Amino acid sequence: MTSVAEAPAVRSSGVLASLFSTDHKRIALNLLAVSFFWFLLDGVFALLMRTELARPGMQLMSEDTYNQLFTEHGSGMIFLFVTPLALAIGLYFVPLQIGAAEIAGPRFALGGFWLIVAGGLTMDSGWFTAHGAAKAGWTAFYPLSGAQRSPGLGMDLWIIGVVLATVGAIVLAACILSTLLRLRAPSMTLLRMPVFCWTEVATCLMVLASFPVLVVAMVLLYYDRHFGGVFDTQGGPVAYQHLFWFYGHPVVYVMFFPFVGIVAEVVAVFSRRRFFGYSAMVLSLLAFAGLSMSVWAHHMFATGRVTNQYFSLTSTSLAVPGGIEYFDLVATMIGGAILLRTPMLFALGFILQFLIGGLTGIILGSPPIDYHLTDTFFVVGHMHYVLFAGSIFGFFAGAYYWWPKVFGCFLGEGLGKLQFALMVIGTNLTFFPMHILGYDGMPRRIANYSKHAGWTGLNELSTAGSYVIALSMLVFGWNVWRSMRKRVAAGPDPWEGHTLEWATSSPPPRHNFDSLPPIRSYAPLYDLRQGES
Amino acid sequence: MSRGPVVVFAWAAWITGLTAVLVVWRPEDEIQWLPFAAMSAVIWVLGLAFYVRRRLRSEVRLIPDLSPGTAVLTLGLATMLGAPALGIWVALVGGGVALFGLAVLARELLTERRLNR
Repeated sequence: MTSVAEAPAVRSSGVLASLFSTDHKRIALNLLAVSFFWFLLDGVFALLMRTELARPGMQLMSEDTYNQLFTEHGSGMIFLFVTPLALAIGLYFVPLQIGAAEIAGPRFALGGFWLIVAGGLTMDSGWFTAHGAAKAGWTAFYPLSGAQRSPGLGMDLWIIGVVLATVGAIVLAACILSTLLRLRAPSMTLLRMPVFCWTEVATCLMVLASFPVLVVAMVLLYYDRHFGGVFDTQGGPVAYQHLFWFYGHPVVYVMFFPFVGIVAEVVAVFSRRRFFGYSAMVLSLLAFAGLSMSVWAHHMFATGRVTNQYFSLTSTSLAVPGGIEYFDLVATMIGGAILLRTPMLFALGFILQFLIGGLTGIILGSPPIDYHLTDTFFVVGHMHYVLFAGSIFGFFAGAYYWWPKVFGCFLGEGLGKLQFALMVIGTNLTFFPMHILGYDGMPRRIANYSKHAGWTGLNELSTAGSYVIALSMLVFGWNVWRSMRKRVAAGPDPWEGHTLEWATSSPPPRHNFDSLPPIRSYAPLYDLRQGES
Repeated sequence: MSRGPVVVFAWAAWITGLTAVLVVWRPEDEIQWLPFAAMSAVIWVLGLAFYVRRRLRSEVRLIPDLSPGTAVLTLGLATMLGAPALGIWVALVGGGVALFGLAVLARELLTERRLNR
């Protein structure tokens, strides 16, 4: 056992104290709570939109309100929920998995958290202004987001909110990457880092490379709205799209990689096997992250102003590293003693459903097909299979897997399985029909459609599915409440985990470890158990 | 000594390669490859920054468990950013809050320096 430096004795407790804490675990939990709040708020927006779309005609709201709802839903989910969530999980578990006592730059991490909170509040404060919240979509395409078509404070506040939340994410990513590259335990070499840590390396590199471009785009958009002369020129709107998608495509992988990492950990632990093809996985993650930086203009095929061949080639190439990752995940399970506990069920849900999102992505990477499907509900279906059916299932796999570590008690297994069943039904009922609707020509971002279009049945199905998803979230809430009241104690390593976070108490102490076991591979606790047997 | 910077340099090389292919494919379309090339440069610089500070830090530095100064300073700066949309008074309020946060943070840092000496 390697001894770790002695921790300072000062401890603090209380809600206010937790908001100022420099402990990476506390900051991460606060960020998780805040991002989950925005998930619920923006989920309610989604339910309102789906209710409106269930039938042709306007039932619930005006078209203007609908525009504000889909803008805030998309923005909130991307800038304030999934991105912060992906970083919060890294903030909590990266130091634990590499045997570090703290995060690099704890004060910066705390500042990053507060920037995201301030960004969210600024963005949503647009609802209380005279013209209402922003209504140009989460992409804020120009000229729709210009002063003429989006007058009022709501759009300005949205831009400022995006800048704040994005800078917050950049700061957090810098802290996590520095931790991974500089604060590893003495025998934790790069190629002994767990797969989840490598997914965070790829994620943070993408954040640091692409997010500053969004900040630049937003500053220019703000300037253009007030002084003009930036995007209201020949080719200006296309230039805006280049800047936006330069951020907008990598962010999809930022919102996906950490959840692949979680699923990889869960699959290995619940298959009772060492993760298969570790080196190939690490290489494919870095190659995947690099390629994902080079595909942004496939969102712009229909503009006719981009090099379609290049962007189609790089987009289709993503299937290669993606395929390697899938192969590794499936090969880990082959020959394993699979335990179908709730985390594993969510991991399997991720693997199967994300495949649909990935395959429809390849379809959209082909320019001739994209011309037919661009700006239709097909794209909405594809995106939600990646981000909801993929990432959110990955998140819940992690939530059920790491809950005992974070809180020292289990989440209910029965309620977990019920939540999983409801989520699978709800997700596929909501998002699968969108592919058919899109293929049939139903445009995205519309509040109304003709009753003669033949889209009513599929829209009703989709709306019913969204309420099933809402029900599954209530089950999760009930499970959390019940587990915190009943508290079935978990102990330090209830799942026989492979990685270092299971070598410390649950929940971990302020400086994470009293001592570390020997680290000889990316699965040190698995090695230890194998050695003992 | 950490080998961490190698990861960043390898990734920078991969991105530079992809940029080069785009430049060769359509050299006349700067709007496409210029931001990509700029980003490749940023990653090289990032790798260099990690290389310069590549020594692993093994000891735990004593820092306070709480840092209200950081939170107040961040919120003050964030409020100031609202000034272009909401008016000069927001900048003044945000500036005041940020100054107060800065003072608290300075006090924290002085205490920390004393503890670590």
